[in-house]
Amino acid sequence: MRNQYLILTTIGLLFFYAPNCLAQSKVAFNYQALVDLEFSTAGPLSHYFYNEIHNEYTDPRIGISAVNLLGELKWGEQWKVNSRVLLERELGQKLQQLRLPQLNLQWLSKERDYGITAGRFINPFGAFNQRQLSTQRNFISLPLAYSYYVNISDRIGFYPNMGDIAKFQVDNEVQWGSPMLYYGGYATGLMFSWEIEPGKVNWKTALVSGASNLSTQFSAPLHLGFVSSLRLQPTYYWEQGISLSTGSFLQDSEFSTDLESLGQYRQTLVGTDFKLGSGFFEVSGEIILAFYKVPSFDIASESFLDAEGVSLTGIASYLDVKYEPPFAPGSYIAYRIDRLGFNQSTFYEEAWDNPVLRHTLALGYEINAYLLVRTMVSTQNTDQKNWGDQQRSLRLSLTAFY
Amino acid sequence: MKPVFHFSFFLLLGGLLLHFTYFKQNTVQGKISILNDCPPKRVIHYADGTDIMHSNDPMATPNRNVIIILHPLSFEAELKPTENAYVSQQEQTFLPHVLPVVMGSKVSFLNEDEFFHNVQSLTRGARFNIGRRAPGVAYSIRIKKAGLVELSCDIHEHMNATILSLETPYFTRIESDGSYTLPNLPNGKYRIEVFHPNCDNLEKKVEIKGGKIHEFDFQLNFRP
Repeated sequence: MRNQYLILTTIGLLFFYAPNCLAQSKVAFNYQALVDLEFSTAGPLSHYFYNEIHNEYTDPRIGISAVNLLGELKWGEQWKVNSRVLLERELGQKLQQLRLPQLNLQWLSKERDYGITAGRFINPFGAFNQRQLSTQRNFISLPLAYSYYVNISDRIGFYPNMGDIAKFQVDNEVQWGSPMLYYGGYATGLMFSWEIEPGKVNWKTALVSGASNLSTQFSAPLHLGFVSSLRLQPTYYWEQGISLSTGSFLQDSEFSTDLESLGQYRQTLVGTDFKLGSGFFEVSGEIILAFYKVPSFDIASESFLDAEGVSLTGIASYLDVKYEPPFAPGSYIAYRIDRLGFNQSTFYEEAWDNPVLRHTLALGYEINAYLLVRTMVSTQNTDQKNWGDQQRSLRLSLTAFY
Repeated sequence: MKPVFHFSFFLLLGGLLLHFTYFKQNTVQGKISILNDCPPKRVIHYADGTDIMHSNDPMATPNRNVIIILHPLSFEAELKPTENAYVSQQEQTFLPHVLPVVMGSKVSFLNEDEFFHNVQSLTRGARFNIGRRAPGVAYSIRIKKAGLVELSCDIHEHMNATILSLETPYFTRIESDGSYTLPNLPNGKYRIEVFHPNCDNLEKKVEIKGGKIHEFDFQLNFRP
């Protein structure tokens, strides 16, 4: 119910202010459209929650993977509505999931140095959320922190080997866990952004509906979260970001009546990212520390072992190196090393999830101003699972955009 | 003495005739009016809705980037590379938005921001990428292809501009009041082209002669 209030408030604000502003100022509508056609093939132990390739689609496959329509309705210099409509493959399977990941109303000061955004907007945490479109990404796949599902479910908290080995259903859904940052990278709430020194110091802070790992647009119950990000440019070749996110995320389920308050279980992320460039080279990377306080669940007894909540920590890091050969304008080659690590919990003898190491190599070529082709191969190893290269993947993507 | 006198007389007469027939210079001038704004056909904005840094310099606006070009039809003009052709990058904006040059000219790119920019062109026949360039360091590229060369910055994807590489030395940019003047034009037949980065371009065939001032006004309009 509270979610509906939030939607109604956003729409109300939009319709209350829009007519006045439309009457006074010049209105402009801009849009961008992107279509991704993708060929993929992957190792037999692939899964959407581990390497973005669904295990029923590991054989060579070609098809449209995403259709994006972004709109910007601008009136005057100070008001904007930003939207994104996305048709994508549902969990990497069929192209049938239509979503509205972004819809927000934005006000900017006359000097454009600060602004307020209400609605659903890109989560300001970290460097990668800002790169939502294929044209902004060197690799087709996302870093592990944004896509790999760890053993923490937003329904019942922690239990080991979630999904692939221990398949447990809650409300008729097998629990696979959640990524550290929900892969869509959007949050709902109110954001304040401040361009402290244009191009050099920028600060964004937002009050949102839950932690950054939350996959649902409007949580039930409605949670609160806080995200803040400071972006600095110490010198012309160096960009640095520092981010913080904290919030609760546990959702109502058939088992949540056993827990006193779902709001007491939290996820906190602390991250820093950088980008260095020179000539035809670019090096960028990110480190994210994740702290969880979650209940631990026992699937044998179908009850919580520790409803007070246990403390778990994880670390995610990746490093990207990109080179643009000057003799082949519009092309690049990039390599990413990506790592996920987990601590040994006090109550659980082993690390609470298996460390993952992924290597990815990508090539890209801009055919012209409207067509981009990218290809990538990746292989990942999960400690203690002896999977070898069975989660390898090969993807080729053609992006048409206007 | 007589033959020298006759020779000098005919030389002078010939020179005068040549002057009045071929070398008498003309001027073309006029005014360009833009009835309706022609919005850019392609606008890139940040997906997260945050504001894009941009310059308010008039040279970034489409209406200051209208170029009048006279293509000779009845003679071949000598093509000398344009001197001091440069594009600057300020507040994440290319300035000017359209740069007309004679084909074969060197164009210098200068980053005047305090962060990295790149300049690349994906135009067929004129593809180049100058890489990330530090502030204050100019880098030149010779434009060997005639026609439009579309520029972009692959670090700031909303940045774009056009080099208009021309096979004629007769062109100019309109003034802020919409007027233009092209002096020193030899007699002959020309195709006048009015280039606007967003409006539909206009063309007109004319003959100019007699060392006069020729007036041609144009009205640009948005055509979807």
